[in-house]
Amino acid sequence: MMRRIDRYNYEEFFLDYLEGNLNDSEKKNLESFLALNPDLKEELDEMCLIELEEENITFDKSSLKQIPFETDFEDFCVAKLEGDLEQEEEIAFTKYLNDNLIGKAQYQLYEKTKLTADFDIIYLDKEELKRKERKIIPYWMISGVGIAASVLLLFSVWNTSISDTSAEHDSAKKVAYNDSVKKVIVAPAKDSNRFEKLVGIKSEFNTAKQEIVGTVNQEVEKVIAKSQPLEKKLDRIVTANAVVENPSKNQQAEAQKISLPEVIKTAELKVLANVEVIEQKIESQDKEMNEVPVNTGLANLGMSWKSSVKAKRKSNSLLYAVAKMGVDKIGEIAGKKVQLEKQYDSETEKTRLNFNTKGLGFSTSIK
Amino acid sequence: MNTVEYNKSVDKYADGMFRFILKNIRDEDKARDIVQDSFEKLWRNIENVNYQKVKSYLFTTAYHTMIDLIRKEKRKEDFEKVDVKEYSHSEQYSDLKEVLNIALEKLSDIQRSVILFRDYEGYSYAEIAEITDLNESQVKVYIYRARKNLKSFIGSIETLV
Repeated sequence: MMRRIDRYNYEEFFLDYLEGNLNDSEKKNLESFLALNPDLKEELDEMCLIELEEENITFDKSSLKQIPFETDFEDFCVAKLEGDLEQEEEIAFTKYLNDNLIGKAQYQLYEKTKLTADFDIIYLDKEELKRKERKIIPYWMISGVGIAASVLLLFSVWNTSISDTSAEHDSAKKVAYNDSVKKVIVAPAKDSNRFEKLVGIKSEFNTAKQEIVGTVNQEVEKVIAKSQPLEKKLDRIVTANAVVENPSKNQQAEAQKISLPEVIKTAELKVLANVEVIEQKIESQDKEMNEVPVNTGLANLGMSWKSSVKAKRKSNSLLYAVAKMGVDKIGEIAGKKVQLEKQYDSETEKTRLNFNTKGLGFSTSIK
Repeated sequence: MNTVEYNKSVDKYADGMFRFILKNIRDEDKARDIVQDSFEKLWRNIENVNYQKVKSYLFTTAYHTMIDLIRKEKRKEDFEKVDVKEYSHSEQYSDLKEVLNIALEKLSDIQRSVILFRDYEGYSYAEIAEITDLNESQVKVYIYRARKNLKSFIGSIETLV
């Protein structure tokens, strides 16, 4: 049913007209009504003027998305560098950096903080740090080492006991000379006249030697042969102008015990009789000790021994060398460092030989 | 771990350890001593250390030895009242590497250690935490602070240049 328009309901029609809700017949009726009521037409025109146009207001939603990047920019830079960002964050932050030149420059500074190792710096002594393969020691080697250790121990004890007691006396009794000429020590000339005298005597000796050519025998030949080193020795001693002190009683006693082979002794005495000034003297204690071989129980084992302080020192050195070699070998087999050291104790005046490992310690006095 | 693996470890890690320690304490002899000590400890514990974890073992040992040394040195410095070195920005820097070395020296000991572990050895936060006896969050914080400090130093140099 079509509605009728009149002065009491025209506003409703006007609003529908403005909203575009009237159909064609209603629009014709409205136009007829307005022609009859021109005052209301003016009112409709006024209503048409009040039409709000849509404002073009836009909101930058992207700025909302940038807020965490702005406020925590530094953290995002480090997180990106360290790979701590989630995939979405990574994409968004990268986009942010691309749109923000200042931010990008700052991030590039962060990229420069990435340290790179300097491969020129190397540890040079790597070989020193390395270790040798641990060896499995076979039974025979262990037993061998055991035997060696026993021998070493026995040797040490024997050495110590012999050295401490009668080594010097026993050895003196058993002195044996093989080369008598070397052992004859001539008193040095104290002045040049004496030297000339000696030279003259040597000349006489040579002359006499020529005279008895016809009757010379093998014994004399030996004497001449033996006299050669003697001459050299005389020259050396005189040139050096060495002064030989009188030997001590003990040394004299030791010298008296020297037994020369008969042939050499005879020849020697001839020379001595002519020279006269030659005396049997011991040059010095140290020199004597060097030259006098001493026989001990070790000879039974085919080993040599010398009866003097120096010789004892030598023996001790030998013991040290043997011990050092043995200990080094044990260390090598065990793959561990075994220390061997000599310590001198001033109170007891003894030298001690010590070696230590974690599992084994050994110490012996070697005087 | 056996002797062969031990010797391999020497070849693989001695250089890295030496570099790491040297960058931290800047004393070649002490750095060498620390590397030697670390391998000595490894040798003593060779039976108990798994070859897969030997790198971590070595770096942990070296790090803690180094920290002990630094503490000892610091006590000495405090006692002797030695002034801490101050680096002037007026120095001439030839390249970024040099700038970074200076910047690295200005970091705190812990910041320097964690960032060297991170960059030199590529360790994760968790691995660094295990070596340094810190938790992962602390490691992360120290690394972030170190990066910001390094960046700040580089930035100030570049601005001047």
